[in-house]
Amino acid sequence: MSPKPSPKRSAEPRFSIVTPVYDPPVDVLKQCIESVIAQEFADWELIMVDDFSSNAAVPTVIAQYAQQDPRITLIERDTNGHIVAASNDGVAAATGEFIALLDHDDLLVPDALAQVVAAIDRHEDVDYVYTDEDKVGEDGTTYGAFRKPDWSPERLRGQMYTSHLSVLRTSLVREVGGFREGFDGSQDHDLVLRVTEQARRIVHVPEVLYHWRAVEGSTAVDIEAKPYAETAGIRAVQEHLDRLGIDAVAGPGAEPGRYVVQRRLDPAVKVSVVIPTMGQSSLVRGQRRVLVVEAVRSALAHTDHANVEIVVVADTPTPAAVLDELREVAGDRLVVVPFDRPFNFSEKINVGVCHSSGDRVVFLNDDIEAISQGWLEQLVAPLDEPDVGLTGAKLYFSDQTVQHAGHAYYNAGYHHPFKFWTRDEVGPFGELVVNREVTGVTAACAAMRRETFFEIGGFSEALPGNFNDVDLCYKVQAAGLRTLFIATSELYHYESRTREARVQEWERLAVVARWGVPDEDRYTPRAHAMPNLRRVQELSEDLFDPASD
Amino acid sequence: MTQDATDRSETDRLREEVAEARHHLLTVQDHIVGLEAENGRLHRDLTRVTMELRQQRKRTKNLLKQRDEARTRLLDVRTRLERNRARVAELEQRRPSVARRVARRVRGALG
Repeated sequence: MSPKPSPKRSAEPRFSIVTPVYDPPVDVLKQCIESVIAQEFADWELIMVDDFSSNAAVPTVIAQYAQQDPRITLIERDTNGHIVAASNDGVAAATGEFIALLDHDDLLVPDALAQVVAAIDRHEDVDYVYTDEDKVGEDGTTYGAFRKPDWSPERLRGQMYTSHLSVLRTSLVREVGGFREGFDGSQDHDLVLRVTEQARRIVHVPEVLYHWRAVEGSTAVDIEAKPYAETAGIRAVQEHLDRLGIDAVAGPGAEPGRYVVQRRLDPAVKVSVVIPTMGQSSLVRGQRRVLVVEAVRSALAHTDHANVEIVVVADTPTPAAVLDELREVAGDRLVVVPFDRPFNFSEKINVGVCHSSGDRVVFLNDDIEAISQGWLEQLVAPLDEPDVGLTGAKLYFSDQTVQHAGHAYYNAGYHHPFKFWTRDEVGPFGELVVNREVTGVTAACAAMRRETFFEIGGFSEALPGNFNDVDLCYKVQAAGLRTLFIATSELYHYESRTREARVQEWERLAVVARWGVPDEDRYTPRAHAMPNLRRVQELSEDLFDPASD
Repeated sequence: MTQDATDRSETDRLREEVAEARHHLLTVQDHIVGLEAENGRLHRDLTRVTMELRQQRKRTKNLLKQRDEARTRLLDVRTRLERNRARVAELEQRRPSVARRVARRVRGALG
């Protein structure tokens, strides 16, 4: 068999793979390099920057590969400058149109670059591409696939979710100044935040093209392995918010690597909270209460925003005593709108909004109780961003299990992912604790700009009971606006855990007629939305075979 | 009724009218947005179905071509088969021996 001809290096390759190297295990380093050499797409250069490794075998191994393949370059640093300096040396040496970031112990799948090229070639203006990833253990087995959402700028503020594989247009990386000193551990998050602020188009390739090495001490195994990274990450997010003029404070999140963005709501903004009610009472934790009164009481008690109007759309049977109690709780902020027509949730909300006067409208069910201080500010303030059309809160059943953390539309249905997860759980990849783009939110607690509500025609009164919120969310999406799930706006929703709303087939068909049959959700892929089902699907067939008993 | 009370009731009536007008606007707008959405959905469906139709037509054309080629081959094989059959039949016919056929030819030549 004749030896494989050595590939030629093109003058300006499509990809410059930049890999800062510092003392990796040699066998792991070899696997990393081999995974690049095995790429089906051949027009690349691999720039390995040895950051003054203490193990002399490391640069020697790279040099041997560089001798065999002209596409591989070794840059040896004279001092250990850490990851930012080493990465910037790689960026400076890059001649490719795009830079792909690869860690010294990770692996690319053979068609990684080919798939990225296919994504880039579909549009001329792609500046940033990211792909799904999983982890690879010491024995070479892969696990923990992270199926990522499509471009989700709000989520990027809460976590560095794009991570691996990231491919960035070289000219843009240079334009924003490359990696920044002082952001070690979160230098990639900082860079991606700055690049995406300028990027013309960002593309997600929904395929696992990168295996992240999970060894002791790496972030892949232990998210707390690099505590210094969190401080840098918070600073990166804060500077990003400042650059965009978003009045907010970044802080640590529920676990390392997650960040909380607390926005400030302009006191001049008038908020109308629209609550449809019949004035019913119910038992909550053993105590009978008038739901709407407690909803208003808790809503006002948990906000520092004074410029609030409470618009209660009350069915005719609402007891006068309930309305009197509401006047006591809300004072002159209360507007009561009588409603004497047959039940139609959509119509009640629409009528309420028509009688309101706020710049922002919040839809609130009467079986809600606010938990988090500032729930209203956190829910409403993101609407200051012109491309945010709708925000929704995080809702719990009375036992503190999750009732709502955003909708997901897939598999020909409309779903509440993460239902029944507990309040202290963060979700498969932080979905329950970071604010993020979602396809939809429940109207039990959601907020919109007034003009957006009128622009899209409010709630469809053809859907009186179910799916009116799904239709609303589709409308928001069709208007080119983002819908956000706000994890920091927490409330109880005393909806029955066991009673499913009675859904009529015509209601589903009415939504499908407008918007089509949902297949896969853009932001919460079904693999993460239904992890329990997946676990069941992964159970051995023997378990279901009666003969095996 | 005092002038203030009259003004207030007039204001309330006008407010109610404004709210009703807004509500009317909302329902009409919802109808428009819904029609546009349905139109978009139908257009997408139509595009998809048209593409599928184009693919299926292409496939049908290929299959017809394959069928015609196969028919031609079959015809060719049948012709060859017929020819061979005739030849076999001819060969299998009882014929006089070689000696007798030679003698017959010689006789014919002499006669």
